[in-house]
Amino acid sequence: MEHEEYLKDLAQSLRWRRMDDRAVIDVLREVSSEAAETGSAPVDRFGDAEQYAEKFDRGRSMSIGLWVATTGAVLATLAAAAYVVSTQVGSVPTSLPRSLAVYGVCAALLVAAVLTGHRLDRRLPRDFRT
Amino acid sequence: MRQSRRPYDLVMTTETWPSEWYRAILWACALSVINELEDDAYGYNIGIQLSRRRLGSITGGTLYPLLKRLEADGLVTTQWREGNQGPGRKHYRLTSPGRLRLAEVSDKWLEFTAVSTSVLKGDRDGA
Repeated sequence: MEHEEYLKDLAQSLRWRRMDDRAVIDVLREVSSEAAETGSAPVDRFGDAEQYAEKFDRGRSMSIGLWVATTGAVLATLAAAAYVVSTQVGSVPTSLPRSLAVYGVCAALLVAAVLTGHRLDRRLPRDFRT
Repeated sequence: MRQSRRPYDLVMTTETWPSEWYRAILWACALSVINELEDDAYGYNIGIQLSRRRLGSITGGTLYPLLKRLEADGLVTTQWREGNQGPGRKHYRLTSPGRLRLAEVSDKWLEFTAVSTSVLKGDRDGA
């Protein structure tokens, strides 16, 4: 279980370094192979999953999770910016409850997008078999 | 069949060299070991051989990203071979550019170490 959790953390970190799933599978298989050879836990041989992922060169692939997180963040920012502009030009009357509600929705969208993206990218690749 | 022993533990050496030295030459040492191991050149075995040659204990966290860069640079080719059980092994083989690069860097490194040794010994006339 600890092994699988490590692989999931590593998969997520590699995808957020924009590595494609083929490269991710390759790294995960290396970790599994080394762990099987040594009988050690991956964290003992490779260190923290996030720090290990940083040792690989960045890729150019956009994972589904990263896409969801980025799109959500952009939409949330645009929505907040549109509200600010509309209050400045006077087309929308300003009130504290309304502002709180709008910014709250934007913040919730941002958090939901990042969490969903993180969760999506933490899945092990479909073609990966230990 | 997996080995029941843990050779990494058996060959653990006390040598520790400055990390700058590793950064300079470990990749070439890995190429050399891959060249020597031929059909047995898979990640775990490469790490063991490097440790046995008193380069210190090279962890997977150091070795595999280095091997990945050698692959990306076209100095080695790789092939996954399935085992009877477990996740299989990734085997490495030198390419022609890899052999050429190894020969070049070996010559230059030997020359460099001869020169630097001479300087460290206080030889004013050079190597």
